This record gives sequence, structure tokens and C-alpha cells, in this order.
Amino acid sequence: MTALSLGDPVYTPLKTYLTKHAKAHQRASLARTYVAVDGLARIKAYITIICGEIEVQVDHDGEDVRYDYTKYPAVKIARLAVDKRVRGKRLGEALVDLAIGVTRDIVCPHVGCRFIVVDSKQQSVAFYRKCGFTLLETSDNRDREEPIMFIDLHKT
Amino acid sequence: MSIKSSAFGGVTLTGDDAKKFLKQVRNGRPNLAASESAKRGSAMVAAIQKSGSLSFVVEKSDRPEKRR
Repeated sequence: MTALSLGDPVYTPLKTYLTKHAKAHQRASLARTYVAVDGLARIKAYITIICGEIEVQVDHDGEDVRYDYTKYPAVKIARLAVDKRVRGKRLGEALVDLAIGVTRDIVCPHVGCRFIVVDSKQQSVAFYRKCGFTLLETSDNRDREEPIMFIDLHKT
Repeated sequence: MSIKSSAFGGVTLTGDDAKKFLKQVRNGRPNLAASESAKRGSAMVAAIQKSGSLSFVVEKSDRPEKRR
């Protein structure tokens, strides 16, 4: 497991999560982590997803439009990491596909879930767009260190 | 207006961010890339449910890959 090499120290928390917290979260049903391993069972990439929600607090300010729901169930991609030696081989994309598939095909029909959401790193926004995620198009969000991106599962 | 979110927490949107989100959801068109991702994901889920794991050969490509 510790063979996972992510390169830039900025990604150290991703390795720390896998080595120190992922198993405990799995056992406690706080998160689910899916790993991609090579032929020698060495982890080359992983993705962690959790249950969450998107809460919208709107001040109507006398507007005619009313919003029926203030909380939307969602699955969040909490962690995604790919070993630097196998980047560019669509491993990350495959794990995101799997997370979307799990959410749409297993979670949604049995529990109810409208969105899959991620706090994307700035440098990953294009990657998530390619996977079908939509950026919340506000200046506040675009300027965030980790902008919110989402997929409306009703439209997949 | 504000956005509150953390990797292992929910997302809270207020003010203009909340309004924009609802507008994007209400008016957003089906996203072809998302549909294709979901289709590939569905096939992977089906394979995992059948055998407990999934094998695939990684693509030989130099395309850079990003992470969360």
C-alpha cells in the first residue's frame, strides 16, 4: 500500500489518508474506498466516496420564484489519487466512472440521491469537466482553491 | 453569499451561489460526457457485482491526468 507514489508533496495528504484513515473509515462505514491494483496487488490509484448533501439557503427577497427543496442528497468524491508512474493512462477517469456508476446504479435506485459532487483542485477542473462534471458558475466558486463541481444524475 | 464545503462534509450554498446552483440545475441540459461516464461506470458496476472485482488494461497514452 505504501508503494503509492504521488510525487508533489502537495498530494501527501492523499497518501496519508490511504495509509492511515481509509481502512478505519471503511470499517466504520464512514466512507468507501475503491482501489486499482496492478498484477502484484500494489495500489496504483484509489477513489473514496461518501454520502453527503448539498444544502441551498436562498433568501427569496420577495421574488416570485420559490424553491421547494433546501437539501439535496449527494455522493461526494472525497479523495482521488493516481500513482505518478501510471498517470495519463485513464486510471483516474476509470475510477470516476466507477463512482458515478455506483452512485447512479446502486445508491440512487435504493436510497435516493440527486447529485455527485466534488471539491476539485483548480488544476483538476478540466479533468472533471471531461468526466461530465459541471462547475458552479459563480465568481466565488471559480476563485476557490477547490471549486465545487457536480453532476445532476437526473440528466445522465 | 458563500460556499462551505470540505472533503468529508456536505456542501452549503447561500446567496448568489445558491441561486446560481438552482438555476444551473433547473436549466441545465443533459451532459453527454456525464452520460458516457455513467454508461462506462454502469458496465464496471455490473462486472464488479458479478465477480467482486474488475480487470482492465490501462491505456497507453501521454495525456496528463489530474487528481482531486
